[in-house]
Amino acid sequence: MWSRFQLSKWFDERLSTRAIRVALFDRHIPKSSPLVEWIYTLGSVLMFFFILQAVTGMMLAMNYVASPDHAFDAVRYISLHAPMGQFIRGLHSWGASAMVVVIGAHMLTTFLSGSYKYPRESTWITGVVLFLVVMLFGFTGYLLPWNQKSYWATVVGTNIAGATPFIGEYIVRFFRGGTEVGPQTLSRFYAMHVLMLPAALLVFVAVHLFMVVRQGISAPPKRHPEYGRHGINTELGIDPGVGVGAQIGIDDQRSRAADEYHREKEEGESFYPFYLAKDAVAVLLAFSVLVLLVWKFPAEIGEIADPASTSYNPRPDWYFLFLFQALKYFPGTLESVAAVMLPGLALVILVTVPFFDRRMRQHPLDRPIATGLAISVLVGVIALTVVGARSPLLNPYVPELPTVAEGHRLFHTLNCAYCHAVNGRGSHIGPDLMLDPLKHDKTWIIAHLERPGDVVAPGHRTAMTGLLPDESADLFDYINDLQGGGPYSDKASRLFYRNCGKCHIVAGHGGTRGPDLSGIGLVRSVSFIHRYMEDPKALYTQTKMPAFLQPEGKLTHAEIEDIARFLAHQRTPAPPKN
Amino acid sequence: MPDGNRAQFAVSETGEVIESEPRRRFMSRLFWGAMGIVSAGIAAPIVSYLIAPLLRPTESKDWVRMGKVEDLPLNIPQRLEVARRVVEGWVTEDSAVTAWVVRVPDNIYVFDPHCTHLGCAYRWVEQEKEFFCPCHAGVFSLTGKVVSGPPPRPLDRYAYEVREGALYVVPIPIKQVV
Repeated sequence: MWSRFQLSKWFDERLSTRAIRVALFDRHIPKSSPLVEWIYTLGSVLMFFFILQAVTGMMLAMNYVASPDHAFDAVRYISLHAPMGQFIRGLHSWGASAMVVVIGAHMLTTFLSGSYKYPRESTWITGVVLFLVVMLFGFTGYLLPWNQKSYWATVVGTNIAGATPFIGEYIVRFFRGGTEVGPQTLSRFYAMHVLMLPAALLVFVAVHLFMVVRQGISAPPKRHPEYGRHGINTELGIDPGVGVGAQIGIDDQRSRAADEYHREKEEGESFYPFYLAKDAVAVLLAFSVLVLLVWKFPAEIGEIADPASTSYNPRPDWYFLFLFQALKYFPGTLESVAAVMLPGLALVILVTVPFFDRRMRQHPLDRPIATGLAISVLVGVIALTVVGARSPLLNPYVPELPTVAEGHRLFHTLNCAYCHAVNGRGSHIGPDLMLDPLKHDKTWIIAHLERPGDVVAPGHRTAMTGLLPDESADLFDYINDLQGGGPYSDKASRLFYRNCGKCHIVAGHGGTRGPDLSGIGLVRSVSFIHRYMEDPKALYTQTKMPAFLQPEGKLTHAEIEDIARFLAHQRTPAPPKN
Repeated sequence: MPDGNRAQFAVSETGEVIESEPRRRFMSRLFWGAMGIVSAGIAAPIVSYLIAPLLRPTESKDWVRMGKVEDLPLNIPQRLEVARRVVEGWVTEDSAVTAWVVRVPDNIYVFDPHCTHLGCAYRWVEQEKEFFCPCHAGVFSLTGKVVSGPPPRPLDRYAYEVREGALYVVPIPIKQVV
C-alpha cells in the first residue's frame, strides 16, 4: 500500500507536481488589512458560483427540453415532482442573480483599487469579457422556463438590442433566430446557454486565473499623490529620494510600484491555507445566504408563455431593468442613445481604461475622476433599477391559482372548445362552461372526465379517453373558477351593499361613484376580485378605492372571499353608459 | 493539494523544515471544514435528484378497462387495444395498451402481445387456429402453449379481473413457468 507521500513523489518525478503546487498554493499574497483580505475573496466566491451554476445546470438539463410544447412542463416537473428539483432550480436561479451581484462588486473593487493598471491590463480585459459572458448567460437562461415572465422579458430584451442604429433589425433576428420570439429562439438560447457560453467562460476563466497566478494578485492601493501624469507633483513631493521638482516618468513609477509590490509580497503569507481559508469561509457564507434565499423565495413556475396575451407586463430580469428604465427617458429616435450607445460607450471605457489611465496612482482618493465616475455610474444604475422596479405595472395582474391555470391549459390541449364554449366563445354542442349554470356536482363532472363511458348517459358521449385524477381535478378547478369560484354565503350580498354599495351598482342598486359591477363576473376571476379588494392600489395606482383587508380596511379574509365570489357570479352585462 | 497534516512538518520553498504552527493548522482546518460543509450541501440534493429514477416504482399497476366480456367471441382470440393516459416525467399522453384476449367457455386468457422468444409482435392465423410469430416462426396454441419454434416459454400473461361484466387488465407481462 502506497502512502500519500509515496504517491505524490511518484507524480512529482513524472510531472514536477511539486513545482505546480508551490506556484499555485505556496505563492505569497501581499500583506494587507483584514478588510482588503475579505474583499479579495470576491473572486473566489465568483468562482464558486460558477461551479455551482455548472453543476446545478447539468442537473436541470437532465429534465429539460428546449421546445415550446414541453419546456414549461419540464420546468414544472422539476419544481413539483423531481426530488430536490425545486431546491436545485432555486440554487440555479438565485445563483444567476448572485453571480451578477458578485461580478459587479468584483469589477467595482478592481476598478476602485486601480488594479487594472500595469502589469494587469490583460487580466482586466479578460474580466470585462467574462462580465459580458455572465450577462449573456443571464439573458439566455431567463427564457428557458418558457413562462410569461421569461417570454416577455426576452421580447423586450431583444427589442432593446434592436434599437442599434442601422443593424438593429439584424441583431434582433440573430438572437431570435427569426422575426419573433418562438421555438427557434428557445433552442437557440438553449444552445448558447449550455454549449457556447460555457465553452467561452471556461477559456476566459482559465486565461484570467493563469494571469492572476502568474502576475500575482495586486496589492492593496496606497496613497501615491506624487505619481503625476508626466512627473512628480512638486507640492506633494513627499518621497525623500526625489528632489522637489524632479520628474518621475511612467517607467520610473512602474519600477517603483514593482519594488513596493515585491516588498509587500515578501511580508505576506502563503495562499494556502491563510487566504484560501478566508475564501472558504466567504464561500460558505455566500452559499448560506443563497440557501436562505432559495428557501424563503422559491423560484416560481409562473404561467406558460402566451404570445397572444395582452394582459402581461413586459419587464426584463432585474439586472437589465436599469437599461429598460433608461429607455423611458430617451423616447423616439433617441432610443438608441440609452439602449446601445451609452452601454457601448461604457464598455469601450472599461476595455480601454488601462491604456489611457497609465499613472501608477492606485488609491481611489488619488484618482478623483475615476472614482467619481465609478460611483456615479453605480448610483445611476442602482437608482434606475429601483425606479424601474417600483414603476407601476401597466396591466393589473393577478396570476390564476396553479390548479386553475393547469386546468385552463388542459382545456386548450384537450380541445374542450370543440364542444364547450366559455363566455360564448367556442362550440355549443355541450353547455357553456361560464354562462350556463352547472347542472352536475363535482363527482359527476370528475367521472365524466375520467370514465366517460361509465357515467355519461347514452347519447351524451364525450370525446375524452379517461383523464388522470390530477388532470380531472385541475379541469374541475378551472370550471369552478369560470363559474365564480364556488358558492357564496347568504350574507354575501348584504356585506356587499353595506361595504361597497355606496360606490358600486349590482343588479340595479348602489352608488355610481365607482364602476357598475353587474357584469364583473364576465371579465374578472374570483382571485382577481379578491386581490383587488384587499389592496386596490397594488394593482391600479390611480384608483380612489380604499383597501378593505384588515387592518387597513374592516373586512376579514373570509368576508372578502365571500364578496368576491358573490361578485364573480354577477354575469349581467352593465347597460352602456349614455 | 496540500493538506492539514502537512502543517506539522511543512517545508518552505528553500527546503528548510518549518516548525509546526498552530495558526497554520487552524487555517487549514478552517479551509477544509468550510469546503466540506459547502460540498456536502451541494452534493446531498444532487445525489437525491440523480438517483430518483432508481427509487421510483417502475411500472403502473393500474387496472385498464378493455371492454365488455360479452362482446368477446368464444374461442376466437381478439387483439384489443385501448388508449390509456400515462404520465412519463413531464409528458402526459395517450399510450396504447394492447392485449390478445381469448375467451373459452370456462376461462379467459389475456396475453402480452409479444413473442416470448425475442419480443416480436405475433398474430393469430385463423386457418391454423394458432398464434404465429413472423420473426423466427414461433407457434403458440390457443391457450398460449409453445407448439413449435424457438420460444422458450408459453406466452406471457396479464393479470385480469371481470367487474360488472367488463374486463380489466394490468398490462405488465407475467412469465409462465414451463
